[in-house]
Amino acid sequence: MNSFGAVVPLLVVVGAALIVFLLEAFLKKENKNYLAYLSLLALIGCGILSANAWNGGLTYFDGMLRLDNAALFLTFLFLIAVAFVILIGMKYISLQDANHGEFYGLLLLALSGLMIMVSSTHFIVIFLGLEVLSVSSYSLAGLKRKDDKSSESAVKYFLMGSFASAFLVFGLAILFGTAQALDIPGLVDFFKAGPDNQVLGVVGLGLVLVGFAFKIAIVPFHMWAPDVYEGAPTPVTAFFSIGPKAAGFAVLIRLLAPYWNAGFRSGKLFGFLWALAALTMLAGNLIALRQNNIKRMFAYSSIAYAGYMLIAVLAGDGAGLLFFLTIYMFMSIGAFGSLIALSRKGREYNELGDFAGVGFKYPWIGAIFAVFLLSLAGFPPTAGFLAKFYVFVAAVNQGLTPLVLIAVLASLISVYYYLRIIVYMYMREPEREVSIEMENPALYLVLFLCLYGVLQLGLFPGNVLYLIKQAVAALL
Amino acid sequence: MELVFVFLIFGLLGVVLLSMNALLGPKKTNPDKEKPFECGSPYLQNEIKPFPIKFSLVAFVFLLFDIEVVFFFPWALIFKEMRGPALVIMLAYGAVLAAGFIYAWKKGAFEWD
Amino acid sequence: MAILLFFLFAAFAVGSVLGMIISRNQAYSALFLVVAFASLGGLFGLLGAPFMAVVQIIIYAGAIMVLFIFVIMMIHLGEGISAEKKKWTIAAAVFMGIILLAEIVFAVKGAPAVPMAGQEMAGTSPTEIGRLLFTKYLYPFEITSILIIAALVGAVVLIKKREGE
Repeated sequence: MNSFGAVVPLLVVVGAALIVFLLEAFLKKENKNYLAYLSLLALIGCGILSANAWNGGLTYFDGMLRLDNAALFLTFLFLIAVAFVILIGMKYISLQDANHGEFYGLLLLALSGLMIMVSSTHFIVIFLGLEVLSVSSYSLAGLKRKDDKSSESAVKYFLMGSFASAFLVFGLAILFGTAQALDIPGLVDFFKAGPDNQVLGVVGLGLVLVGFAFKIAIVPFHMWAPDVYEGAPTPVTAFFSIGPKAAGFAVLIRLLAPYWNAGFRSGKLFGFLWALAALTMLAGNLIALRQNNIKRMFAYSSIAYAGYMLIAVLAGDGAGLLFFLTIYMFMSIGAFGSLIALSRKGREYNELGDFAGVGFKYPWIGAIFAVFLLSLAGFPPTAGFLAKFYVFVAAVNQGLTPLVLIAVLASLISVYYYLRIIVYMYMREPEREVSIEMENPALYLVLFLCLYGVLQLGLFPGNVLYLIKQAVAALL
Repeated sequence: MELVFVFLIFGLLGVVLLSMNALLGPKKTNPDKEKPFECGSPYLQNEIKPFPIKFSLVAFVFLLFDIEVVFFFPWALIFKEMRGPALVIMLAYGAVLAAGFIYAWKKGAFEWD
Repeated sequence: MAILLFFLFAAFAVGSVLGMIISRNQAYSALFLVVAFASLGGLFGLLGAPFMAVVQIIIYAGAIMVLFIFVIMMIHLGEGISAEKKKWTIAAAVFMGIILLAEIVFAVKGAPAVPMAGQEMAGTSPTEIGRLLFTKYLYPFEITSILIIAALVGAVVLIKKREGE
């Protein structure tokens, strides 16, 4: 149904971002919390508008904007993620010398980029959404301006991201040249139609996939991730771990879903993606073993997680992928939130040695962090177990048993480094004095909600699975 | 044909303006004057000195608004056909950029501190 | 007449690119590149693609060159490269040059002998581009404004000094 209502959620977010920028420029207040409240209000408004559009199938701009249920589900996911990031960032930016009101505005713009990406099937729109997301992300990574690592992170992300975008545009140009179409249905028709120019088309598609592989950090296109994750302000890192990844995979399943029942597993790109998935899981987890900086370790862990998500794509399990992304959002933001909880003014504790004995000194934070780590490692009854379980079962049903064996092996490797943090927290004598800023209610709220999410989805995932089923129906 | 005249006129004008300095300017020179001035010592380098980073913001802002200008060209050509909608479209576009412009202005992006 | 203009622009383009390569001063190189871009803009105009010509001049000769010149001015390039490295760069340049030559030969061989039919050029008039841009591609067009403001805010927040710093 063609309706202007399809644009309104996006307009709310962009409008709020502009207002945040203008307020920041005019009021110049030292306390930026009012901008956070304003942003949260916009997120809630956007959420209500999106909820009203559920099952509505609204479209606008000649179908270039398509609010189907899959787009809406991912929009909810992003809204929750950005709201969490704003909440864990409120205190953080003033404590860690990144006190710019633009933090909130840029996050909202990044969110609008994500929403644009997931709510279109036209590659020009998807590309522009990706660029809005990326450009906002580059500056978000560098917000701690006096910190060399943060600046390095911004520059690296910018250079590597531009490089990836160049691949993407080149691939799109070749695709357009051969298929004379850039919308996903048109491309699917082209590839299903016949052998004319197929080779060139596959080259173009391959380049597009490489571009996306960069953005979602799949080995061997992952080199930027550890440095960017380490240098960026921690709330921003939490955002990076879920936002770009979820949107990239959303585009990937939109592109590949039409093939799931039509010879996907014998297609030209299947072997390529299979190898990428195996490599990503093994390399990500093996390199993570050697990391002593927690943020770098999480960076490699998130790379490995991209590998698990790729299995869901290969298995043609859209519902499993969305469920996986939902759970990963709670786990990842929870874990990074715990890292933020263990910080004080001008000092963050990111080295493994800092965590010695923390579990007894700060029992609550230690316990919550441990739950997130166990969930990331995939122990029942946490949601992390269920996420992997569903995806692996779906993959085995599709005859991907060798890949699942690799995945299980990789998961077992990952248990070591997740548990190592817990061992440090509870079984080592403290090496150095760790003191943290305790007064941060917004952060504790997020930690609690993430904990709730991880346990609720691990034990009673029924409601969310029901929504996901409706969302996936839009894709096929 | 008019195109040729345009190129001829502006090309000639360019040549005239370029050569004006050589024609009208005073030419008092000697070998020492042609050398770069370096207090007391022979000059060592002919490279360009690094530039203050402040310029990057100027370059960047110019780049962004330059891209906006490109869109005005097809817009102006289509305006007669579309009228109202075209105006609304460009106003919406301009409003977003105006917000950015005001933001940059208030932040002092155009001040030379 | 067009053939005359073509040779004029072509000569300017090739000459200024040569000047760009030969010039030892990087700022001169950049300015030569501006001339090359402008001549290319003229060539696009002659090919019946005025929009491309305008974009070539405004974006390439204008905006992109400003960034080029800025980068040249900001970083040290005076030392040049060592003799050891120079050998490799020459080898790489020869290799790339041969590939480029082969590409051009293939392209010219494969090109149709007759210039493309008129209908192929129909979509390239600025009016036609405007019509597409403001109707079918309206959504992407408006998204570019968000992209520009994201870049602007990012640049200001990362570069501009805050008060009291």
